[in-house]
Amino acid sequence: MAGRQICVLGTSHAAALKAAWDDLAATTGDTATFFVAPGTTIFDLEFEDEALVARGDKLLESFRSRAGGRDRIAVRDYDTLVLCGVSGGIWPLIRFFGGCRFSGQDGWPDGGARHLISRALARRHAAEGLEDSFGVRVARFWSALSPARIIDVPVPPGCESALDDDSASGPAVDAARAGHGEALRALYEGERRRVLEACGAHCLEVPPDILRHGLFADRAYARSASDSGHKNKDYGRRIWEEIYRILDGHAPWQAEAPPPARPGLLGLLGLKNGRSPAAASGHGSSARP
Amino acid sequence: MTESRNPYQGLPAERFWRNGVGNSTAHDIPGLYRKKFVLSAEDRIATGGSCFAQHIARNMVRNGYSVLDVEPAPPGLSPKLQKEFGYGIYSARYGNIYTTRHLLQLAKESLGLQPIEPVVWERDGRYFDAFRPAVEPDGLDSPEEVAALRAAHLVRVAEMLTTMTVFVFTFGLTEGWVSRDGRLTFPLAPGVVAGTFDDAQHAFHNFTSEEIHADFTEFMEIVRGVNPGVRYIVTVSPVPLTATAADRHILLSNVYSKSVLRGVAGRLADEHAEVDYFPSYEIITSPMSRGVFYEPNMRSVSPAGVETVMDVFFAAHHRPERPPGPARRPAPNGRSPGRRGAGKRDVVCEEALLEAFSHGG
Repeated sequence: MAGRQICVLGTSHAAALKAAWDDLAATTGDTATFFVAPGTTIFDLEFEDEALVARGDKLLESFRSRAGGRDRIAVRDYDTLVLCGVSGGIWPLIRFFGGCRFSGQDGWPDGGARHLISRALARRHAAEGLEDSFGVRVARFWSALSPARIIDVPVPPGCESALDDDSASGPAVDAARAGHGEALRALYEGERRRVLEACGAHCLEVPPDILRHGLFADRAYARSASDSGHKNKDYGRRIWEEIYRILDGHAPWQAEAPPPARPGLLGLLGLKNGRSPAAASGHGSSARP
Repeated sequence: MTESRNPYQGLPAERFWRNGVGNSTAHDIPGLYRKKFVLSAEDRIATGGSCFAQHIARNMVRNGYSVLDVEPAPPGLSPKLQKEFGYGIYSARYGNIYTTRHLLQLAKESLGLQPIEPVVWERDGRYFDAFRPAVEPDGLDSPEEVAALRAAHLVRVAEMLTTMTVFVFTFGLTEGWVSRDGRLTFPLAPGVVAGTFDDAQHAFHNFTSEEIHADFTEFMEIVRGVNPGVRYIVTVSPVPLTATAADRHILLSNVYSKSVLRGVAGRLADEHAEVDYFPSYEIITSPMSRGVFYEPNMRSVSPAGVETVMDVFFAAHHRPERPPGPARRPAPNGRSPGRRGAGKRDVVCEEALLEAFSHGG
């Protein structure tokens, strides 16, 4: 039986998926084609009839080297679409919270000067960014043409080592130190799921045991603070596991039955620092595959 | 032989209907408005009132005046959401203030002269501030969040009242909704945006001329106590009532309400040197306009009407000259309302919600 045809459409964050895929592909029998380009170049794809067509020299060049020279993504050629880094990340929300706060949120370094806003407004702001995103437009386009599975995968978070430097600051660092990272992550993931599911996409979250303070990744899943997940094969492998859990119930390289479904981040909100039960008991780092 | 004299002899042309109205056009009414005082670039102008006041606020910003925005939108919020969530519409995020009793209550609460009494209205598991239910269209997560945001809002209102030098207020309605005990006034009837009307707790009240005059006078006294020297420009909204709770035809209620408001506004201007009346009501509703300044629904004021009103205003209050030197902030503690997303001409008007419920739906 012919394997699946998987289209991976994304930004540079798809590098982690590609690195892992090179190791895993043989166990799947599936074929993944990576239509990826750095930064915003991927947004030069144009919607045309039943295909996405590359425009612009940079995107064509990127597809030449990464997608076997194809300049056209025919929707019906694929059973599965994986979106990575194109559906509006958490960063716009984090930056927004560089200057505001919810009621009851204390501990910000400049607390009094922040705009007090409602949670409802923050949700709408987050949703607005997601709804305008390229990935959501692709998902709407794709789902109207094809019954293929559409899976939006999470952009890898920055490494928790960013918190090591006491003098470091910035919206994410400030939010994590003030203990509000989990709340912001939950707000973002809630809206992300709502917006993406409305256009027929599955929405994967960062595996909870990887997350630290809601906004950062465990050191084991990050090479550096600045390039945590781009080239991280381990992070990519975890995401492929989640993708195959959606597609088949478990990943083919996992011989055993799949582990019980982990609660999403929303279910973990009660946990200190966003750690999974294993992590909270001191085994967080050992979660590295 | 003594020459016959009468007191109308020698009066300016605009004092006579034939010249002042009959020979004028709706777009050009010489002598209609003479300002009482000069607005300067240094003035910190605050705005409030019924929905027509939104036009005044927005156009004052466009014309270079420093309009206070003490409760600005958080940076990064889109113009669409700013407008939807009541940012940048008035000098603080209080939404429309239709009655002077509501204005007075807001001032008293913000300045600590009346206990802050958060009243929370509920709809579908969401919670709304009964005194500004439309500024959070999705409602809030909890009654506690309503109380926290209201407390923060009132701090900003106090800041506005104590720092403004000019307050532009548009009188909107005489009809209002109050608590049965008379202590609280709501901008909208309970149940329109959220909450439920309860005859045991809520009551309709049609404010009289004396009450409105007394309320605004008290408001001015309170402001004088914390911020002497504030001047006022008062107007009457030409936007008719959407609905009346009085037992009579809407047209009768509308003429009654507007007449009362116009009378009070004129009286205040006659009584106080620091109060100027600007005739936006007359410009839109006078016979010479022949109704052309209304949209087909005969209620909303058309863009041409707004433009004509503002042309008259700014013909008197010229664009202020800024003192030489580096550009100064338009307002302390904030930005100017309406600066972002100012292209939209439509206004936010909770009162219009009544219309949606007026068809038995």
